[in-house]
Amino acid sequence: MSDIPKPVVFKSVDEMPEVPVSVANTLYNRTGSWRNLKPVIREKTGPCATSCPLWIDIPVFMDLLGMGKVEEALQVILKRNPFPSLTGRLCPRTCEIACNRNKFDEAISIRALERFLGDLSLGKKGKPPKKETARRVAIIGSGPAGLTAAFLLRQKGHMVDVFERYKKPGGHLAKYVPPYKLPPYIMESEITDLEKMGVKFNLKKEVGKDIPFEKLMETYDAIYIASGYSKEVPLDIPGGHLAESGLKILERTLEGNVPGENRFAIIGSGLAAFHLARTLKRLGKDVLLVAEATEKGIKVPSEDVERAREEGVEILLETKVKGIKEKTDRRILEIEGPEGTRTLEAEMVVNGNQGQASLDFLPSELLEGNRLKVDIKTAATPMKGVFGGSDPANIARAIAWGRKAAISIDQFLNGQELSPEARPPLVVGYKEIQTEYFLHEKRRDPKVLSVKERFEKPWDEEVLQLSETEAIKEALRCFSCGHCNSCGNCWVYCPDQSILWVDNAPQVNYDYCKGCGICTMECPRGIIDLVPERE
Amino acid sequence: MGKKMVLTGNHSVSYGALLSRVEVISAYPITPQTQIVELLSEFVADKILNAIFVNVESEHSAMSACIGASAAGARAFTATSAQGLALMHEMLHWAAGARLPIVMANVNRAMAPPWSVWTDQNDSLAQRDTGWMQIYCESNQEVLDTVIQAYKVSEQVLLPTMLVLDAFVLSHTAEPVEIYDQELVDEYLPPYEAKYRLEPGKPQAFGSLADARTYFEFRYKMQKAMEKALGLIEKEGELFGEMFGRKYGLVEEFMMDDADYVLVTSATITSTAKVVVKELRKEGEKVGLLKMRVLRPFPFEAVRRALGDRKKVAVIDRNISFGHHGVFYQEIKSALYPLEKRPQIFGYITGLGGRDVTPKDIRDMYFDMKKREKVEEIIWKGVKL
Repeated sequence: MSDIPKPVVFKSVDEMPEVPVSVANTLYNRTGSWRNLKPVIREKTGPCATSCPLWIDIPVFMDLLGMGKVEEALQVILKRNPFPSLTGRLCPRTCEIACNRNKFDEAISIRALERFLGDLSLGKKGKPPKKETARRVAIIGSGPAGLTAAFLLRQKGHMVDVFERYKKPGGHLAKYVPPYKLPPYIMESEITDLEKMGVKFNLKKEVGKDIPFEKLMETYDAIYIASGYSKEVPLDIPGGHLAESGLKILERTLEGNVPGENRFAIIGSGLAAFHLARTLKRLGKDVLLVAEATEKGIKVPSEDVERAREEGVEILLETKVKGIKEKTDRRILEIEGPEGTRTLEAEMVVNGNQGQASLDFLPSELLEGNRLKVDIKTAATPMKGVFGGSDPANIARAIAWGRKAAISIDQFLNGQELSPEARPPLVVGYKEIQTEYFLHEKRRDPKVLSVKERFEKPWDEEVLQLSETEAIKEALRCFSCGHCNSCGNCWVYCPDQSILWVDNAPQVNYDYCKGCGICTMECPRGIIDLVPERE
Repeated sequence: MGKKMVLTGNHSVSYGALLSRVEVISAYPITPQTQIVELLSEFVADKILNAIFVNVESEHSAMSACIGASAAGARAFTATSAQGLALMHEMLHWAAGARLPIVMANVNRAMAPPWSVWTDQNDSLAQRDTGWMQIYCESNQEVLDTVIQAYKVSEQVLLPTMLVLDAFVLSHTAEPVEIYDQELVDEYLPPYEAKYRLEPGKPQAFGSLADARTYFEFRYKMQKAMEKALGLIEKEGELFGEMFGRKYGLVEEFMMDDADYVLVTSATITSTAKVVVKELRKEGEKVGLLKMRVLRPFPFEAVRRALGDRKKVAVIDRNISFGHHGVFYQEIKSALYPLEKRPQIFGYITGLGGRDVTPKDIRDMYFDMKKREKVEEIIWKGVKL
């Protein structure tokens, strides 16, 4: 600080310049000592990121995408989620529900942008690890949870064997998700990348049947139980046995083996029920969906319900099936709904219930009733080296389980104590957004095929891709909550020039900052907090 | 030798600015000034003058732009008149307080309302105390010569100069004017080297807060600069005479030897009065004329020297300080007050709003003064009473 000029005191008029111009400066006066409150610049995040089970740093990737830095934006997603092409199509977008922009105009099309970026990574992720650890991990189940753990553990250099009962990897995504929602090439590309990394898939290998669980225990250093939820739950009503298994019919239909019946009654309101209803309808069948749920109580994303209706699926809500009777080639359903009790006819009745976990192959010490005993934070089970857990209803949560398990397994294999990832602590709420800095602008949704087009090409992907221009424009709508995008407002508005600009980012010069709080007020995205000088 | 051109007063200003190689011109049009900057804008457009012409939305901005340019070390010029000058008022203080050697031509035009575009001096005299030097010109040649001299003096004392010419009587009246060789003017007026200037990479605060510990001294220095300018105006006027053949001073004495009675004039009334004085001399009257060229800084010594030893003095003012008197009258009277032996002094107000001041009017004023015994407050000449 010796380069700071000392204050100049003029003793006579002769010492002064004739022009009123500064001959020193006021830097000797450390006005920072006047401060009671101090601004603290801290990177936070938006509610989108914390409501995403994967904690994807959405404001950061939006910022990068908005600048056209497509590859860097993609890397931000890949850091948290190896399969953005899957979530970009199938996740229930809790991020968009939480988006602060909902209170301003409309949420950002986060999922569509994730898909846009994710698809750029297809076929490019299959790089073998830099070093091998020679540790062996068995993963039971190749759904999104299992694939995620396989990807992350292989990245760490562990040998990964995936055991899958079905003939194709992908778990329920391979069996129960129609191609119009997830084109098969996506999953094929992800699997190819995993194979290129060195992940080994053992298909048509059912643990407990083809290989005993104990065998895995002997052979592998760690096991991740990520088996699916494909065990049928029978309908507990008179004549329940007359209902066909929804999962089986769905699997069959998607394989091209379409049932010959023409009028279907599907009982249930889960994703499997909707997938089956929509698929059969597209194939020209009459489909009725009967569910006890209310409109709001339906657990599937509203877009699935909406599209099912558009396509002509008849949906009876708040309706209970009291029983099923057989009548030659017909089934008679006795239903009780808002309009009272009546009967319906169908050629085939389908049990559209979601499946249950099938964990019979596991030793009893891992079970608690029909559930796996796992620590929700670390995915550890009571058995050393055995980890487990997934989520059937939400692909993002399933991937988060896979990530959690992979982290724990890697720590376990390295002899470390298990320490799960910390949740992003600071979230910027809508009230902290200085909305006067933003313009109202309509959300860009990707184009969806018309109903006519959907019937003409029933297997084609129904949601189209955003163009790069649209994607960038949409990303630019993002408030970038909690993420400093170097807008420079704090620098511009600081009346004391106490915001320094270092490496294209603001820094507070506490020597001179008086703590007026203007930077806090003018930060459009809530990054600068004003905190007491002495806490 | 240069060349002679027939120029209006306005274009004489433009040529003066051209020869002074001004670097930034910022102005807003106003009658009767507009022709000055119109011709300058042509010079700039035709690349005859290497300058930046800044179009602005008001005179306040015109002066602000000149202030910025001058602070950055450029030779800045503007021109205005009457209401335009009044709108500049705040920035006139700024230019002077910041000690910027800007030169401005003000075409004397009567203030509105009622509207007038014709000449009187109330517009420039209302800016008397802003810290600008003021030079009142009698002829188109003097106008051109004064632009050049003004930069020479201003840049030495770091004070701005307002040169003043009468609306229409000079501004729109053409006379033969000598345009000097550029080389000679360059020799007289070297490029402006600002001692203090806005410079990227060398941050300094210009004209920022000066508290009670320093403000006073800056004002003291301004007054000292004004006092220094008195000598410099004479010195540079002398040098100008040596180089270009026309000598200028703070005042001009005409037929003052042995004169008992003196007419004091400024601007174009001077030329008319000179004709009258010559005639009166032929008639045997002991009369002379004192032309007030520089009002700020006020040439106390020159005025005292010229008027101290006379019987009677008539000051002819084409202006009025309402509630007092003509401004030149006030100033000359107060300058003479310390003298032990001082003349009787009479003040005439005439020609407001461009009303003609004829040789007969001046003759009348002379004889009026001669016969008057006691000093009256205001003597109105030419008003329809």
